[in-house]
Amino acid sequence: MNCGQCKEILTAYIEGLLNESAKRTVQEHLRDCPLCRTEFEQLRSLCDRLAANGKAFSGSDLENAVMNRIVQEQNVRLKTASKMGVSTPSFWRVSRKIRRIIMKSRITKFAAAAAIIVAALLVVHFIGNPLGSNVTFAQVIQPILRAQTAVFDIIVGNEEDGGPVIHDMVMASRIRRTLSNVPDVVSIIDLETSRILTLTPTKEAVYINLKGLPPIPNYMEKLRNVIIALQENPKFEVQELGQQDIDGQRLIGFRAKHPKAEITIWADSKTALPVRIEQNEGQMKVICKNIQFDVPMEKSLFSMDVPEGYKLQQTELDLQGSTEQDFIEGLRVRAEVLGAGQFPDSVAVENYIKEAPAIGKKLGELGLSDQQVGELGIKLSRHLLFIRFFKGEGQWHYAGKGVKLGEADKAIFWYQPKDSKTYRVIYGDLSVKDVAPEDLPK
Amino acid sequence: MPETDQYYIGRCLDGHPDDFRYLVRAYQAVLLAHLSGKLGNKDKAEEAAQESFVRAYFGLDGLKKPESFFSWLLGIADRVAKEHQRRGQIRQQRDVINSFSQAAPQPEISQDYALESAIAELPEAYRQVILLRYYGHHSCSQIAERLDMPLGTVTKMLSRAYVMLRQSLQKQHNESCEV
Repeated sequence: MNCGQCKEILTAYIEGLLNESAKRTVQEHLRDCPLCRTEFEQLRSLCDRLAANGKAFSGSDLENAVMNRIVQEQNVRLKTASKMGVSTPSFWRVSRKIRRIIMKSRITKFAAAAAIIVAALLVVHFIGNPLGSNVTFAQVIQPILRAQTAVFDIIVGNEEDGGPVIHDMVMASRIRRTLSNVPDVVSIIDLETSRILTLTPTKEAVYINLKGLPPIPNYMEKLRNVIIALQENPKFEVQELGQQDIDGQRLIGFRAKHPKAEITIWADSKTALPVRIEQNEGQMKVICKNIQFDVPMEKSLFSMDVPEGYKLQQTELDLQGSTEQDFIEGLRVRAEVLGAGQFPDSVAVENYIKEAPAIGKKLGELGLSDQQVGELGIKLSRHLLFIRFFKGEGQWHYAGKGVKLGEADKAIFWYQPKDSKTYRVIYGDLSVKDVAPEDLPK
Repeated sequence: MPETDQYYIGRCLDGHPDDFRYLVRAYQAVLLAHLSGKLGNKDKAEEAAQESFVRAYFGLDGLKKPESFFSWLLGIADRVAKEHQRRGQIRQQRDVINSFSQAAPQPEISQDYALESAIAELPEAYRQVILLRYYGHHSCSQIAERLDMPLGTVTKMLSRAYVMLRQSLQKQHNESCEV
């Protein structure tokens, strides 16, 4: 091998691309030729320098910055297009194209705030409870079994506490929902596809894809299944509550009981149509009132399509198996970020619904990045779901009112996990201990 | 198996614009290195890289050959860099940095500006190969496949690029010694 030949395959040699015999030939030549050896060393050092520099760049992260800029640019383009206000076919072609490239998963402050409200919306899937078989009672529930559509108001917690009212319109698997403390925002929930479309008065539309939501087939279907299943169960007891005037209406009441749950249905004493249903599910009380069945409603009210002229954003909310750790993380956010170091007065669902608009607003004011607000929103949602779908035995207890984050000697929350002999106790410093029932805080 | 550029471009155009992030992920280091060399400053390079990606995104449906996304992207970056660039300033900056790096044995800046600017001066074909090899972390055979050339050509181009880089580095060194 001469120097020219050696030089020619030196790169292949460094790259480890030569076969054994060629490799040996190069090695032998390098050993014998000081000039080529110098050349090789210089080449090697350049390669090392390139590799080191390459490494320095490999940690760069432009992804989110770029995606955010694209969304901004997108919005500018959309605005310009709508300002032009033209409606020629070519305009629609262009706007379709623009619509097509609207971003999907960037979590903006607005979407995050919407996610917080949505979490509040999710918690009140009105699901029926134990009922019995009683002729009169059966009459009362017939409309629920037959209804194609329904309209009602939901209150979580006690009615006299003056919490927000959730107004629902239901058609098949879709719910059109508004909250009385955020009256301008409309959400359409599609249980079939686990998607929520939220529309605001500022013409913003947010699609939220829900992941990990327990399967909820069809709203009315679910209610029916529960009632039918329960009617067939001999263990249920139905108690007649007699007649009572509620909200100026003469109503007749029935209470169906079960060790773990209770449902009370009030029906119009003349028509036997249910107008009010009170449920206890775990520690959550849900009142459903002003119920009307088979109200004719425009199908378009339940459309999942984004209305013309709305700015679209999409985000995802993963609700998969909310754990104790999620609950604790939420406590941390509520104390540290929202409560100036102090835990909330209550962790009950109704309290959260009441606070949702304020929480959304507060997060918006903190001057955090969109990404951060989004992450906090998701943390809070998962925190809430731990209580909403509480999986422990018996009751949970909260004693965090007035406690400051870091107060390690104060127990703020305890519950008994399923199949556990001991309780899990969470303290003010957010540490957790397993505690025997006799050692629980009083 | 990682998807090809064509796949993600198709997805973007097909109503999944968020998939553009995979292209950003794949090429950000390459683009940053390329632009650092041209602009001589990390912040400017980041700014220009972001802008290049955004322009690429909005130009996607005009891209005739999706398989040449990478060279197309580099072309966009070149134009962006040109707009950002004021030659005199860059030159000055490079000299300042060079004099720094000689005074201080181990400058705190992680990038090797001399090297990056040498890369930026390479003819396009060679520059691509160097960027893919060292900043895109491709092997020679991956480069051969992606640029549709024989493996031998890749190693030859690398060799030639090394020669040019060394000359350029040497020249820069000499110039800074004269200052």
